[in-house]
Amino acid sequence: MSAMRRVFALIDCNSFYCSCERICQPELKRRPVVVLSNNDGCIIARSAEAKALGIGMGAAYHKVRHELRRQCVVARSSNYPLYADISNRVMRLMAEMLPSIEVYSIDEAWGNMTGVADPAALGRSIRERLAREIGMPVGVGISTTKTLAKLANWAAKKWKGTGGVLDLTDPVRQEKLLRLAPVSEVWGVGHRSAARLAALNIATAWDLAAFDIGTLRKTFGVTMERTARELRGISCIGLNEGPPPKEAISSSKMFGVRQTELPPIREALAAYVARAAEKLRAQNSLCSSIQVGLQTQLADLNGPRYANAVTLALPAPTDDTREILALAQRGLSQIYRPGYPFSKCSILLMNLSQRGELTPDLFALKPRSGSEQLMKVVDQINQREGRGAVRIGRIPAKPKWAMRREMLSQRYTTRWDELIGVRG
Amino acid sequence: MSSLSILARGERLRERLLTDVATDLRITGFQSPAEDEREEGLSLDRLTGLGAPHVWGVQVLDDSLIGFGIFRGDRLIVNRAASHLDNKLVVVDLDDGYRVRLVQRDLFGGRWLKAADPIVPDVQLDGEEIIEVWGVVSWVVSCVSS
Repeated sequence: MSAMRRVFALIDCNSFYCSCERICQPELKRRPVVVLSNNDGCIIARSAEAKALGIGMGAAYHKVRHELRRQCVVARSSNYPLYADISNRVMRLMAEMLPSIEVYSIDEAWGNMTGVADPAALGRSIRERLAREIGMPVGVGISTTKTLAKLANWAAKKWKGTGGVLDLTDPVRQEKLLRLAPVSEVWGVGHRSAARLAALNIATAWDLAAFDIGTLRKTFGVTMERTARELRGISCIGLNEGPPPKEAISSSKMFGVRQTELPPIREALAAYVARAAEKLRAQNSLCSSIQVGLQTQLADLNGPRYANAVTLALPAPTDDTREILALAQRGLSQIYRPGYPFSKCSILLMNLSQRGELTPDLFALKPRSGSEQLMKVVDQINQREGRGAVRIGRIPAKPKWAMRREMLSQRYTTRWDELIGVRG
Repeated sequence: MSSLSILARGERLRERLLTDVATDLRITGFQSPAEDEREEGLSLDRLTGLGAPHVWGVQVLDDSLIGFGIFRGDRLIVNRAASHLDNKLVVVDLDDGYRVRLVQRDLFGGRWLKAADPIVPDVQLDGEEIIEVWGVVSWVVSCVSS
């Protein structure tokens, strides 16, 4: 008996951030919407209507603000608590309907459709339930390899006639699409490699699939070889069992306003360390060394520029916010220089190990007593009462250095007093 | 007696929702005779389905739903997967936002959206204009001890 043919689906939300805003604010359904990056810097998501108006991805908000207003485009600051909750709903619903899924990013997931009698019908019913129960529009691409499924997803969104679901398991249909799709739309082919491929007369996905594998490997490396094989229908990339624990955890944000004095930067660093340590404990890891970074706006060529980072080792692997923070503050003192308009500081937790994996050093300093329990309680209280309910004394409730988010919507799905509003 | 005092401390912590810590504080002496019969406590989440992907919470912004016995500030639990609409309170997307209406059939089987305030005219649900039913209201959560 031959092995069962593998079938992958890629389910990808349409304009995810904009769609999240629209679910909670129905008046936005009838208007073009854009979502801005941290500090309201630039446009990172556009609804289909905003795209049609010619608003560019990545455009600086302060440059296009007046144009947006003239065209009645609604802008929103990014609201990550909301996006995370809606993403979670989307993923759980998919997990319920498919034998297994692999979450690929906040707005897309791979689904295992191997052995499903009618993959297209399942794709349509996933699409329909996501629209009805969550209000999230998605495209579904289905094929025999991940790369082909991704390409099918692109086609499902591009051609309205597909109804948002495209089953590309049939080799004849695969060939038809491969001949139509520009090579730059293939998963794993970046802008730079598309240009290099063009030099070899590879313009479409079909050209890439048909090209000599040996030459591809020599010129572009094994990743491109694998992409070409996947386009030929040979599955080389399977579904992960789940992402491995992160090897490093970072937290870094731009300040809402440039900071020159040390005390507010110390506050910001404390807040980022607290968040990073929380993530560290969430994956049950300990960290052995840290890197603290501080920089001015490097893109600003006229002002004074400075960037520095320092790496420090902890006396023993730990997940205690207080231990990490004390060391981080020492690192900050080493790299801080007065007089510069700093725009960002960062913390990177490195050399992670799983709790219990390492044999403790007999001669190392003893950890603070009850540290593990205390951190557990702090995390639990913050989880239930909201982030920052219990925090290090140095972190203010309303910091001056916080991100600018002037068009922030409510946390419609995670706070009782900010729920979606209804009237009679 | 010492085992009882440990249990009491565990219960106190459980009440403060620190369940993981409380789980560690098991009875270490004689096994409790109640252990085999223990049942899960009451949970409003389980009762209302809150936490499921298709169950959403909304809040009432004004007094316009008093006719339905729903007050300003009440929270409604809305099931977006429910398909049976007749004689149910539903959240609908009517041009300027989400509204709560009662779905009722007329003598000819047509479905109408009735507002809590009788002055507001009925709107036909299955008429020419497409009206999106956002979800069916399954619970009202009111705080009565302000």
